[in-house]
Amino acid sequence: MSVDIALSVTTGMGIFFITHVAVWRILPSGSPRIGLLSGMAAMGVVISLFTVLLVGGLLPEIFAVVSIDFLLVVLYLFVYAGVARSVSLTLVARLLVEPGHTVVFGTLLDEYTSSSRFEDRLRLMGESGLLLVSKDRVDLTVKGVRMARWARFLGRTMGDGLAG
Amino acid sequence: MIQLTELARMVVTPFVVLATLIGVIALQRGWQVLMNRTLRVNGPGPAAASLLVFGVIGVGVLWEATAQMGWPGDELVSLRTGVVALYAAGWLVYVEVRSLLSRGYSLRILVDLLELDGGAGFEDLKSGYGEGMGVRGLLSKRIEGLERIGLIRCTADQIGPLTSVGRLVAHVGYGMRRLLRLEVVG
Repeated sequence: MSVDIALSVTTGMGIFFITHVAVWRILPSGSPRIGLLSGMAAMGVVISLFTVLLVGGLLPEIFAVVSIDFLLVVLYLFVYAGVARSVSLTLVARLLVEPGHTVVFGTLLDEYTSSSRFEDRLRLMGESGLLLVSKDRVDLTVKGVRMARWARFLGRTMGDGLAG
Repeated sequence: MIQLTELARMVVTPFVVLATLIGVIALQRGWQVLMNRTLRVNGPGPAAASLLVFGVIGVGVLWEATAQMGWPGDELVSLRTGVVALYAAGWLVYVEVRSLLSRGYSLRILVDLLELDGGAGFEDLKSGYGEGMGVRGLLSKRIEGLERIGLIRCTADQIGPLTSVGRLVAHVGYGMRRLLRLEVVG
């Protein structure tokens, strides 16, 4: 029973991870491509499902396989989002290359202020249809206004506000 | 051969998980608001502790609920595994959405723009990021977070050195960025 579940999950999620690494290495991009990654994850879940059906899994086993896959996909998407976009991870990775793993705050601030990270966020949100970015001005689109209102509402309801 | 009653019980199971998840989230939020308003207990530490405790309470509720569903031994183990995994995934989504709302760089830019009547000059937007905290505030907040979770040590204006856990996280993160050839990062 548990062997069937482990085999099915490993097969589906293994193929998903290998495909992800292969595609990202062959076709690197400046965009995080979360949509494409989610599609690949869905493919992995379908492969797991086929595998558990192939080994004759019963209903509770099928349910377990899909649920475990879902948990692993959610976990992986969060780890990936952090790896791709986390400012905190960039900070610790930045310290790694410094002698003694230490740096003065002003140096970090200068690097961040002069880098194109802010522009990069604006570009990505522009590509997602949330912003209209012109040479020296940024405006919310209708979709962007809707998203911002939702974020503000959820920030007040669920968390401790949107600190950024 | 799948029995109809088995199928019906199986269809009901995800809804039991969803109902438990919604109930536990409501309790956790209620607890946090109560602690904040009555005892002025707030901040990341108590919030993380309540998320952990209420998360475990949900697992306990589902453990007991699945015992009442009448599945035989081996199948009950599979069902419980699935139920706990599904609940954990939902709880993770909740925790991540909270984190995104609290620290989301892009979301904060959108809300800043909304509060500036929907548009702003590029330099004004950058310098006024996060209700005026700017890039300095963004970095300070993250450095405080890294220090609090024990990844770095700081003295006055000096950021670092990395702790042993911090070095491990930095190596793993940097390694994954190289493996996936991620050139544009946060």
